[in-house]
Amino acid sequence: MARRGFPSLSARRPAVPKRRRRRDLPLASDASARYLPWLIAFLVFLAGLALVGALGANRLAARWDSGLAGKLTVQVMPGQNAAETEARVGLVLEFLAASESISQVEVLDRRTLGGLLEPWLGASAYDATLPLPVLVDVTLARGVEGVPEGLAERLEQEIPAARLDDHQRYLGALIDFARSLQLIAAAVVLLVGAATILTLIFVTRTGLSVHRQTIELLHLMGARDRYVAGQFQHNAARLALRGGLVGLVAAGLVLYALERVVESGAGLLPGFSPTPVDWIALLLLPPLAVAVAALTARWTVLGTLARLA
Amino acid sequence: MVRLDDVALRYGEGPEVLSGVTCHLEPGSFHFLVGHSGAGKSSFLRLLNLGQRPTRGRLMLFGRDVARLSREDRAVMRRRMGVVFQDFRLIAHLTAFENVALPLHLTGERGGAIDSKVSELLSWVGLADCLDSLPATLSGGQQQRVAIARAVVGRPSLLLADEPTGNVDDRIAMRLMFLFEEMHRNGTTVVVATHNETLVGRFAHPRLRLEGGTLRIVPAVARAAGGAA
Repeated sequence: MARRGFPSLSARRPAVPKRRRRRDLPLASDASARYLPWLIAFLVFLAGLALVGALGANRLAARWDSGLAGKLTVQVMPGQNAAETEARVGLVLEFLAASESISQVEVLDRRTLGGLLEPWLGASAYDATLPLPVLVDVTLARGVEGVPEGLAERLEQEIPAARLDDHQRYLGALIDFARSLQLIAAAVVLLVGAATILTLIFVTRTGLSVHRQTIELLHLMGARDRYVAGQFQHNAARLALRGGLVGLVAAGLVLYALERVVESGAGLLPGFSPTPVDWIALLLLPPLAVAVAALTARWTVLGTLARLA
Repeated sequence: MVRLDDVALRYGEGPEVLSGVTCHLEPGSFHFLVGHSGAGKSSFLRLLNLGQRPTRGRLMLFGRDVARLSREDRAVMRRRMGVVFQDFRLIAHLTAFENVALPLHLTGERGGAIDSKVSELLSWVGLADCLDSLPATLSGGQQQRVAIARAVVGRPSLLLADEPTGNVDDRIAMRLMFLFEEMHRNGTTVVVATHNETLVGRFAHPRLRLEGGTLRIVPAVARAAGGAA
């Protein structure tokens, strides 16, 4: 600007002040800046647990499903003595060998059986005097789906002490249970997301109201709506990042502890422990929270200012 | 530059504070806006800085009908204006330097250009020692000078000043008027609202006199005293 003929009122040219991070709206000093990170930390924590729970339940169901696909078990009741039991098992093996639908049979030894029952019975599961049924693991031939027709009936007819189990009775219930867990966890993740968005909308609208005069001034000086939105967006992202990292650390600690507990549970819930995929999904939560926060703040500001116009 | 045809303004359901205002301000002109307190000077300026829409009539700014402007267009148009508010309206948490730099940030200027323009201008208005001061620590007169520096730093095409010398002594008032004069000479259209008839009398510019909500144009008096020319 030309200012010919107007001497400076100041004897010296001033030193330019050191630049600082400047925000036209003092959003960082709002009350929301104090509680929002904690709220987001809590929501990210909940979302983290729910997400890992959903992934774990999915893995569990898949494991149960695929692990028992094409498998049957024949349960042979113990006889009065070992010889009688052995005779019954022999008859069962002969019966199964005659079926073309079956490719392989394997009698579970006493030790394997004891191992399966140990979580419930403890060391006594290995007690040889315990009258346990003999289990025969049956693998169906390739291409055979489900129990061959009439196989169970014929087995029970020929060997009344034997019973065919296709696992579907309890497997179906278990898979339903795992799927329910998965749905609940997914619902929790969605609810947490919705709660985050609603909270941010409320906080942003409050900020717009608190700083109405400054925003009006910025508009009078030629600020576009997206300039104002950018200030809210940046602030929301910063708070979400801070909260998201705290939530991530908290969820990580809890999951680490859970992993230790599950591992010490002697395989009661094999496959439920967090995997690298789970940890990666968990690490994605803070950036996701930042993105959700920034976009919600932006859209709320742009929508509100457009309505005010 | 500015054209009003039978423009009226009312707030809500209240009476018209401006009624049948018709005038045309040529580009590069300088007008004083005078009238007693409550005559509608601030309302008139609010119309010009797009802070209010006319309730009747047509307002043209920079050759465009403001009624047809989009929100985006209004923002762009406002960047071509500098406004000195009667109540200064400085942003409390920003320093004097940052307040003055704000319009430059809004137009996308960066770093060094902002530093030199802002520090030079603040120095010129006598605030070289207050660059880092927050508005609350400045006197009324100092705040007013910051507000004026903020209004002119972007070299606006239209400068609107509402009582810009109300809180400063005569010496500073004259300096600030010289600044407006200089901008006028460089092509800026200037409208200065004031009730200071003594100050107005020192400059040979036409007056827009508001009385009872209506506007009358008083031609320039052919003299320029007090070293204003």
